[in-house]
Amino acid sequence: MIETITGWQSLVSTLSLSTTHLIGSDRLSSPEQIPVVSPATGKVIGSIPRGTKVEIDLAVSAARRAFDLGPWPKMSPRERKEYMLKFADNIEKHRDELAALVTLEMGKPISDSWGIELRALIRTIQWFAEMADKIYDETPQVGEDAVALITREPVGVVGVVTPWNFPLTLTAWKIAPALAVGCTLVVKPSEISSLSVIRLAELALDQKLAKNLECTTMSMHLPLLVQLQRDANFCTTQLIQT
Amino acid sequence: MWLELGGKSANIVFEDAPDMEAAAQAAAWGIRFNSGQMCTAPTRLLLQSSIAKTFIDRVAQILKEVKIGDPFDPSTQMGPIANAKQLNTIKKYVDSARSRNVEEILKGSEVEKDGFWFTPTVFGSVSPDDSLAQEEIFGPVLTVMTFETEKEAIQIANNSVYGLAAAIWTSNLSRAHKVSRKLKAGTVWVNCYEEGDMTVPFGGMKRSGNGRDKSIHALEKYLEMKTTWVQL
Repeated sequence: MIETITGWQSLVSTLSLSTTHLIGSDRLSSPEQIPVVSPATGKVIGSIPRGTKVEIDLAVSAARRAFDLGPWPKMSPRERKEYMLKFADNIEKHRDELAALVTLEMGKPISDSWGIELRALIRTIQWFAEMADKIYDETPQVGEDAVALITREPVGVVGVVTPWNFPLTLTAWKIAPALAVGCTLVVKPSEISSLSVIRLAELALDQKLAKNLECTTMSMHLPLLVQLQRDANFCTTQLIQT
Repeated sequence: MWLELGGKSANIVFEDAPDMEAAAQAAAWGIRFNSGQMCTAPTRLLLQSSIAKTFIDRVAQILKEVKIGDPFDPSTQMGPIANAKQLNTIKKYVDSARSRNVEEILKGSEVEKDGFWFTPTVFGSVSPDDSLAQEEIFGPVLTVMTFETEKEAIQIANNSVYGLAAAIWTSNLSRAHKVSRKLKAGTVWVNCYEEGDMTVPFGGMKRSGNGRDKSIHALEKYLEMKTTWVQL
């Protein structure tokens, strides 16, 4: 960990802050941006795209395609584990940068961002990666004239809405188990803490994970209630302005 | 739909707690960590009356010494409140309590600088039905209540729409288990706070949500079971 305030400040000055949605491997800009305000200074430090029904439909369709046609749910659990472990390694390599983004956007002390938030993110992804190829199904004893199987199948596209207080930990708690079992995802971080989560999705893209996963990220203005209806063949979303 | 929502977690300290200093440090840490913006924050401190005065004085002392400042300073313990709206919510609760003359053991305030800052605040002798004891503030505001008996502690702890977490500090093994079973909370810590690892599930009862994250049980949210019956 960088040990001085000046060390962190110089890292922050080199950060390029994403201003786009990330849908599959495509970066989508938005006509309207939401300003990101540093809580430590009250100053605007960047902006994130404001999502609408259009972008959420694109993201859900991309995630749906990735689930129905892509390799992620079909590949062996061992391969999924390996992808996820590489994802965790990539996060470790960018640990300072991700910690700085969390501190910049929501004000968590850097020692906690680096020491607690990033530790939880990395360990969660590693733990569920290791879980991927250690899941067993069941065959109950039903007599000699039948065979019964109890199997578990991924639910499909998972919609994830996460808060700003632990932006990476709580995102990891949802995406890691979902990815481990072969689901694809649409992630909507809080507009207070989107910079770190968008960067996380970019790190997945770095090692071709997102291309396989369509690990997609969106930012929308709250309050919105995202209702994801799951079906065997399609997924619809409704945005309800409240 | 799986929801992980808020909390108003009870942190119960009995007079037979094995290490009062550890309990006081945990109570103080829990209300200032992440500027109190933590769903499992121990925002309701329940103290057995025989130890209440000494204990709360120590908690207030620790909170007074918390290093608040630039979040990019690695020695900073407490940073700002995450946004203007949240700061206003905290101020609203504190101002309202002051207007009702609730006893204020540690008087917190905004900090005269840019950004959104609020220092730790402790309210004492709060009635269990007061909004300070019922509503999630999501900031560094601690509500202290006292009790005489184990039964009373459980009653106060469960008098909440939330059920995310709770803690018990006691040297009595039977009491630890008996109280733990009676608490309506997704996680109960004994002689510690906010401990755990990936092996244990996390989630809430009542209005704190449904479903569990972490552990092997988290997978259940993302898997559907199918039965296949083959007649031979």
